[in-house]
Amino acid sequence: MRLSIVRSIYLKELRETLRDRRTIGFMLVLPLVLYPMMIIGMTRFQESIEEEIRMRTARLALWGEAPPGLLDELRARKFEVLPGKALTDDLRSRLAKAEFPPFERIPEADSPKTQKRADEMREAASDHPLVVTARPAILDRSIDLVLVVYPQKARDGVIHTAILYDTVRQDSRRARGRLDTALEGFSRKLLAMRETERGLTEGFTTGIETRARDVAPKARRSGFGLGTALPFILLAISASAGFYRAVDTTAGEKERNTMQTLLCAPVRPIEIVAGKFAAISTITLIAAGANIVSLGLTFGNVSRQIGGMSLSPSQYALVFAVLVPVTLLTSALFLAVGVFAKDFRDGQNLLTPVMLVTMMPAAITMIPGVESNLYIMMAPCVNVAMLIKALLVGEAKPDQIFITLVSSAAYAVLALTFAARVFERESLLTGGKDTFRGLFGFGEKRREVTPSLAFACFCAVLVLIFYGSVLPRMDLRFFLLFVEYGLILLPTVAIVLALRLPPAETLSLRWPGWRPMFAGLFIGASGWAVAHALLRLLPPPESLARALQKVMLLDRIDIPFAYVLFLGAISPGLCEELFFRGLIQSGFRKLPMWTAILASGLLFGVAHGSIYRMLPVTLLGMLFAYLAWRSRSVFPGMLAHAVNNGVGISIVAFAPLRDYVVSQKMQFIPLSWSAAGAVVLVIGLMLARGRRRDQNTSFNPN
Amino acid sequence: MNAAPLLVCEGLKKYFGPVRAVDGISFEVRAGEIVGLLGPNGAGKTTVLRMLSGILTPDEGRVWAAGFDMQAESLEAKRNIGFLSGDTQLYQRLTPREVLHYFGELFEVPASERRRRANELIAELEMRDFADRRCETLSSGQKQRANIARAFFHDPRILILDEPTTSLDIISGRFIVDSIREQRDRGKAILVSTHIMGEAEYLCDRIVMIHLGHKTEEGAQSEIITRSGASNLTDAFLRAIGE
Repeated sequence: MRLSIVRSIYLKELRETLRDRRTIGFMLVLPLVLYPMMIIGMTRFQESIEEEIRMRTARLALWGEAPPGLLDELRARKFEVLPGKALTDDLRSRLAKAEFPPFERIPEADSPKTQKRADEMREAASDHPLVVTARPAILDRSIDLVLVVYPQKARDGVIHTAILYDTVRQDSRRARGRLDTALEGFSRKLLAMRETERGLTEGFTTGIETRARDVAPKARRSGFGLGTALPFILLAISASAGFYRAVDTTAGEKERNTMQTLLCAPVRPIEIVAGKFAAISTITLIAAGANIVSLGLTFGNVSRQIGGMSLSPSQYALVFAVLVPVTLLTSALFLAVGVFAKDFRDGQNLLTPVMLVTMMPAAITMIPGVESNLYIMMAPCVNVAMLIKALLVGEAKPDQIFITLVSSAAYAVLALTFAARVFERESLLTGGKDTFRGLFGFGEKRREVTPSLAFACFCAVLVLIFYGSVLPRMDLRFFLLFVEYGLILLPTVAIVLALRLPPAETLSLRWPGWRPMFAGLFIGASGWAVAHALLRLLPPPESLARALQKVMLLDRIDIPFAYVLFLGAISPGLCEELFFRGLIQSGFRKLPMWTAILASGLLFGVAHGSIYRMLPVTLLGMLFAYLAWRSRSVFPGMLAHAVNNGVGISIVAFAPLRDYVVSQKMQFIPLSWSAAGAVVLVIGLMLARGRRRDQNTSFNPN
Repeated sequence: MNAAPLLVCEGLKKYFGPVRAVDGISFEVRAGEIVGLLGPNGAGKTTVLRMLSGILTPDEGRVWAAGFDMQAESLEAKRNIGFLSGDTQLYQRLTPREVLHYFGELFEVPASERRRRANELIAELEMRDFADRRCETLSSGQKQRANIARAFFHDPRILILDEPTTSLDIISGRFIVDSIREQRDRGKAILVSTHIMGEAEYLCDRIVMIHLGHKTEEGAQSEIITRSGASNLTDAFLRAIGE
């Protein structure tokens, strides 16, 4: 072997590689950025969660009579003691009558026999009335754990207690540890006191006897084990399957020049995108399905042999269902980015970082103690990973499912819109380059908003609103102003300017005359009463009602009522109407009237981010859309929106009315109010309908 | 040549950033005629052909294919064009027959017609031995025959062929060239770009020469040779590009 030849070949290969900027990026820059980002980010994230749990006051439900001094001990150790919380009257009396003997000590599992016995005791506790009662309260986070204090028997002086906690919940597990420590401390004090004050009798040396029981049923514990790693594995493996198809169908087709053959066939770019997107999505979903089936069979088999892991087919089916939107997102993203590559190798270099960046955050489920919150429900891929985990442990809430699915769908639409845009760029498809401005169409003179552009704008602003609305610890007044003007109005104006759309025509800035304005007044004053009746179909939880009230009252900050109205009524009327009935609805002008109104209302409903408010808010959105459609102006809708919100705020803020509602324990407004509202609403709609000659839908600013 | 022009371009211009790749080119191709597009490397031939087949949009100028405006009625215009380039490969994991059916679907050829047409072309282009083998196993010549069949499949009135015999041996090249002549005899309007002067002389009724994005010559071979004062097409070409 001639070393000089080897050296020449080696140097040529290195030179060529080092001149490839993408390879350099993948080889050096990505690892340099990725690992610090991941490790430092994840560590900080975990530290902040640990700190939060450590600093947090644990909510402890105390069932039974606490011996003197115990409450002080618990409070000193940062427990918020809630006597009798979640305990039914029946159980309280049975507990007082000592109908429930203390739990037995679970033996050390040092042999198969004792292991079996321990498992049986744990399973038996699962159906115990106290455990069954504690379970939902811990699951819905109203408490972290329960301390049961059994009635004291005079003969031995032992205080028997039980701790009911949830191993799946990190904060419940932590609270249990802290409670153990607190009880030990209390026990030591108790012993010392007894020893000094009285003579010792049998049993006094024991102080407190505590038995702990896990309220999490077997399925939930199995789900927790699976939910830690499974979501990430599922997402990553499924995405990998789509990855190679995406590279082949974009960069591969360019490399083989089959893309240009396709482009000279009588097909539209959107048809090419749709076909390729459907193929990549199908392959990804098949991979996901195969993974889930294989996992299900494996765990089913293991479960039969050694027990401990059992998930129902419906849980697996749900997991598959929530993978659909994230599959659509990654497929569209891969498709769009793949087109930028010159050849197959280039495609792999480009798509690998995209896959890493989208998939790695899904490893969040492996971090102990991370609980789903609004931030997480909005984060692409992460939200689906957390939802899969929640489904596996059986604690997925309707709002979590709704927000995760809606935000994932919004990301998927954005990615797909991007892919469609990329496939319209012939320079990219034929192997050339494109500019950022050209790619996004900035600077192109447009005459109108298309439905797809409207939808993409909606998704972009929705993502902004969602992320903006979870900004932490912001003054509520500033927060409302920030959302309305910073996240809704500003992007609306920016989109109109960036795409060089005619502002007056696009945003329907046209004086409609007095009749539509009166229609807006009537609809605004009555629409809420009718919309509110729809809440009966899917009653919101108490927590949502409290959160809404907090926003409406501006967290009881002492500010003038006029300012409250400005923040809660006038600003939403102005900003949201310019966005929804101005920019977005202008994209629906060529659709049939009711399709456009329904689409406008639905998008308005979705943007409010709660499945419980979806129906009423959609109805209100449709009413405002109808006003805008009939009047060809955004102003009647603005007035209606502001009046609608103003009425809501006035009801909550007007003390006698609020007190009346509270005193009557009204969950919903009476149907008679809704009926009265319906009458006024019909008058408003008739006014909005206008005369026949006014019903031309074409826009004329004059 | 009194047949109607089927492919017409007028004032075509195309810029790639500051580079003026094509600068005001106009010509037409009539039914039953083969027009050769000649030019040195980088002259803009491929860009012109891509604009004519609807792959690229001209920055200025217009294209009509079978009377349809390529920009305003692109689907109808494309339906009348068969495009082939020498460097186009096939879908590796499909068979030539599957490729033909796929493009038949894209060109909305009825299903029964697709079967008949595939059998007809497979026989005509002598593809029986490999029509049902995966394209990844075919030789260059076999692949190009399959590609030709793909371009002819929807029976377009216009054929645009970008160096169709590149990288083929002399036997395969001649087979392709003869197939093109046969299409001309069936009344197709054919535009072909080539580097091979002998092929142009054998194949083309008229020649359009371009250089640096401009048209430098157009006419029948004999007219161009006479006008340039050269003795053959190669010399006439070299003179036209100033060599």
